[in-house]
Amino acid sequence: MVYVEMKLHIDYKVAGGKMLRIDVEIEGAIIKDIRLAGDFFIYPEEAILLIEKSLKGVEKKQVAKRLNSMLKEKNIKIIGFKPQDLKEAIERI
Amino acid sequence: MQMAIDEAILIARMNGLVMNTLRFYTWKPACVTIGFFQSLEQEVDIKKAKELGIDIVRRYTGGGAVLHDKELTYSIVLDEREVSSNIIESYKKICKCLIKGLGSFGIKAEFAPINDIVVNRRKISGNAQTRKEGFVLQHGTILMDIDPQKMFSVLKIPDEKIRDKMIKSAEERVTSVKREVGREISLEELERGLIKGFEDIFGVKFRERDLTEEELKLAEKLCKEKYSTKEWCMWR
Repeated sequence: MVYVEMKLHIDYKVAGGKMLRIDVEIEGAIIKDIRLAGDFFIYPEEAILLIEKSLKGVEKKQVAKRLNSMLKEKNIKIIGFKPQDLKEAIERI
Repeated sequence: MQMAIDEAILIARMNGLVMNTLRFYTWKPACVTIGFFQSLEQEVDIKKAKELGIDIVRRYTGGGAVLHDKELTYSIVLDEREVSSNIIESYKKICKCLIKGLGSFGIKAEFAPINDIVVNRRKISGNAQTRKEGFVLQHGTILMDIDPQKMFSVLKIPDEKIRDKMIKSAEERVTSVKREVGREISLEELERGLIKGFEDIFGVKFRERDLTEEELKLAEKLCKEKYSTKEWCMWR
């Protein structure tokens, strides 16, 4: 099977939440690189870098699970989207 | 400089150098602030802002892009224990002070989670908060008047084709102190009303003070080495 690498951007408005603006590089079903932007809140703010790093090499369908365990492990709070919203946004691609 | 001053007060408070502090300010020239997680290029028409002489700065706090023009900005720095360890609850408590203050002008405002204050579903205030080592910095804008045309000339719209629709809908979704009260309110008058709101909700009395020498020095340093740098403003 041959996989093509794709660089994509998606804007995803979370129902009852904030706007997620995602730049993602995908190879097959694997996230190679990801950058999250938008009007959400993350506490502490600097944890965005840890979150993005932790999603590299993760399969698209595992995004929510990976992010959930990351938030618990590092005691990070996100306000404005849930791990499941990020998974749904990426799966729309 | 304003974002640097807010952070300097937070650091001074963390270091026990100052007490809980409420501050009001306006921006000259007008300025667009963007949230910590926003992409500058995605949110702001940089060329247009330059043409109109509008500054641009990234905030330390999350949330959305705001055009600070015809508005009053407040910031409050306080011990987390004065509000709540729950973030939404703490937004709610601080916004309650603003709502009480607006109420003194006859404005019936409500908190609209996550971080807005609305009057009849129209936004009158947006707020953003950060926390560091048990201390909270929340700042926000209270619209004195609205100019959707100007707002959408510098803030980017996802789809250009809907610019007119966005301007029209902003007129329906956003309101201002002037519109709600039906007359011009001076900044000083609004400030006094809001201070009273904070005093009533927190059960405290504020004493006026200037920034300390340490705060000013730190703010100047933060302005020079952080907020005015390309690395900070363009980091995403």
